[in-house]
Amino acid sequence: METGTVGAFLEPGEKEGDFILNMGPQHPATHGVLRVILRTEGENVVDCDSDIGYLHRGQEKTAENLPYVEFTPYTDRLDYIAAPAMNLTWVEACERLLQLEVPERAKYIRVIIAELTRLASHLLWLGTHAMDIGALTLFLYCFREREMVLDLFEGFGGARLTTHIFRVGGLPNDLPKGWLEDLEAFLDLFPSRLSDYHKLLTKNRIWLRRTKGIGVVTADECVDWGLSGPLIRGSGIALDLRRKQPYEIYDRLDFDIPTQEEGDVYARYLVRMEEMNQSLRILRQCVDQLPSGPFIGKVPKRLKAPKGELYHATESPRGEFGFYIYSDGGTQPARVKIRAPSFINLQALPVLIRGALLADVVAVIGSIDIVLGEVDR
Amino acid sequence: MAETHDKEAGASVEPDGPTELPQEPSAGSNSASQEEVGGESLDTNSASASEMAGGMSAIKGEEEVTPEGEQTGSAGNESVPVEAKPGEEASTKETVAPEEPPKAQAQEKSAEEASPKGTVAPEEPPKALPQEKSAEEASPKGTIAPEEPPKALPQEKSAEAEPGEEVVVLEERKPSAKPPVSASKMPRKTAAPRKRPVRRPKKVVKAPEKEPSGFVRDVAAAHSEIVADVYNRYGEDTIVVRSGGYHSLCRHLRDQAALRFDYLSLLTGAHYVGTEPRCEVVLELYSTPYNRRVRVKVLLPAEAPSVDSVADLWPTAGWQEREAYDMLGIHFHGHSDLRRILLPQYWEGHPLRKDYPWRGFRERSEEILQERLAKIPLETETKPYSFD
Repeated sequence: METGTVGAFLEPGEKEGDFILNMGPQHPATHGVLRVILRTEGENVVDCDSDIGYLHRGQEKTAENLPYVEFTPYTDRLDYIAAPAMNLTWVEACERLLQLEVPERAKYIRVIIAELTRLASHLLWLGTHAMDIGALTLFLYCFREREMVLDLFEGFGGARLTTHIFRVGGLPNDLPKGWLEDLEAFLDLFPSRLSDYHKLLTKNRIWLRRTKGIGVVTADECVDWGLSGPLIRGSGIALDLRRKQPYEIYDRLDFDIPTQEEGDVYARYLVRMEEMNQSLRILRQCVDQLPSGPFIGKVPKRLKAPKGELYHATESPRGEFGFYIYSDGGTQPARVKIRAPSFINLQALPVLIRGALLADVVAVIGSIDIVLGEVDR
Repeated sequence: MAETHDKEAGASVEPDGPTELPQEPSAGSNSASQEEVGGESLDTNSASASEMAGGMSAIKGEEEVTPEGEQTGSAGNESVPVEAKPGEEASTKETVAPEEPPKAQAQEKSAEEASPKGTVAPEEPPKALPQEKSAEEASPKGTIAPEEPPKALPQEKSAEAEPGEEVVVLEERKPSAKPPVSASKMPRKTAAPRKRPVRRPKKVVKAPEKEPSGFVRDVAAAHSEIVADVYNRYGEDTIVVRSGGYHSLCRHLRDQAALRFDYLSLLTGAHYVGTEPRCEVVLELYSTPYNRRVRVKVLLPAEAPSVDSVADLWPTAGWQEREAYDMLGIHFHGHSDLRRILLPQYWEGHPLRKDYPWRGFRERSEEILQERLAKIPLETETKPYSFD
């Protein structure tokens, strides 16, 4: 087969025992259709290459051929685990571009939904990540709680997974009656469930052996490779756009940016667990401060952006998620580039994986927390 | 913000109106030919539908519309169409009859406007006369007749119009939110104006511009020979650099102690229509010590665009440059592994270039795949078993 026909191949090494191992694209631990080609010496991974693009749908080309508002539902399909975070980034970018103002109440509700999204996303990550490593118990518990969050999404926006939950200029509707009570009931319940997870994993000896010292990445490497989200915070850099470059109302909220110094799989696990805790804090504050008022601002029927370009990024559950939009003055963007954190983070897989054992590859990929819809776009 | 946007949009439309006038006669002639074919009934329907659809900014639309629309109607449209129409119009109008009185007012306006035009274009006055005749058939309609041609125009325009123009038409319709009863009258008035704003692109709200930040100006001053432009839009600093000095400027931005843009958020390319040069590479840089961003742009020709790779400065550029190569065909010198990344290696073309169609390449790509697969020999051939 001519090289390069189907993807990337690594030349097998000279040493005896060198072995090329193909993993995926149908491997369950790759969380989608990721194909990783591993070069191993015995059981140690020497190098790897990722073959992506199996889920490529041409989202950027689509965005260039649709009016601004009509692309919003497509963003659901980027990171489908955290669809509201994608919606949020897109509508915020459009609002900046079109210079629209969003009512206060809508901002608060957006933050509520965004933090619920973070919870839902981290819950799914925790369940599948633990399952990859062998802790099967947690999977069903995590999905039990995630179901409650999805029910809240459904109650507010009508959909559970691809939510299309925000609109340019505000929200599609106000909070339904009883929704806040449901949310508060969830907020009362969830901390005890979170402590259950800690009991199952945090000091579990097997868990520690499988995660500590695995997939180490230093702070400098994180910056060089452009890593974001829990990866860079797990290496000691408190880079969180909610704090560094606040959007919506995050500058008014009191929350911590959890960091860990070790930069291994366990550190990233602790960061995400603590982020769930902080999300609960944010949610409580938003519920307490929620103002009344309109839920959508004044939006012209036809959105025509001025000529110019901007880059708008938010902190999605996986890291810095951004849109670069170039407008030539028309009703459709002339260029849309999606800055997908999974794509950038996955690029550093060889750095994380080098020297690890074959069995740890699954743990490392799980700790990056990729979503292939976002990687391939 | 939204309010200002609306206002400006509305304001922009009004001034455009007068400038458009010279174009009207041609449109009128076109409309006339179509009208002869006999589309008046359709016209009225469409107009009423448009009125129904549009709900919103009635005031603005009317204001804008009335001067322009009437003029067009009086000037070019009426002359030809009127002759063919009278019978048809009468029938349609009779059904509509109660509505006519308000129309008369509008018509009067048109008549007034028409007179000044008559001086401008000698041809028009005679045309106006035939229209009046048709109008005479329905006593109030005499005034109406001029209005009808404009209806025809909108249809023609919509058919001919470019996608962008159609959008504008929709907006204009909305303004005429008056009750459906007035459909016959209203569409006439509103219809003509709808078309005109379409022709002249509206003045768009400008992106908020500021003076570039101090450090950006310093960089530009220190590298004036390679920095082509510096500006700040939407509060984001942008440095446009010539392709020759791109790599050295990036190194400067990364290593200079006062800058320290050590984090590459985004690297991408773009291919545009209507700009020169047509390609560009965009970098979004972030400084972790100073918590600020800057954008670096390199403009490149559309023919075989190429630029230095910055993957040696920021390793994260590796995949992003591969993607830019894959999607836009931009070549990065010095990249160690410039392969396609999202699309299969056998793919032809670069999809994000503007000359690549949004849809329609699917079948061809399947053919290519089958051709390639046919060339690959099967490693093992299964022998048929024999059970003798």
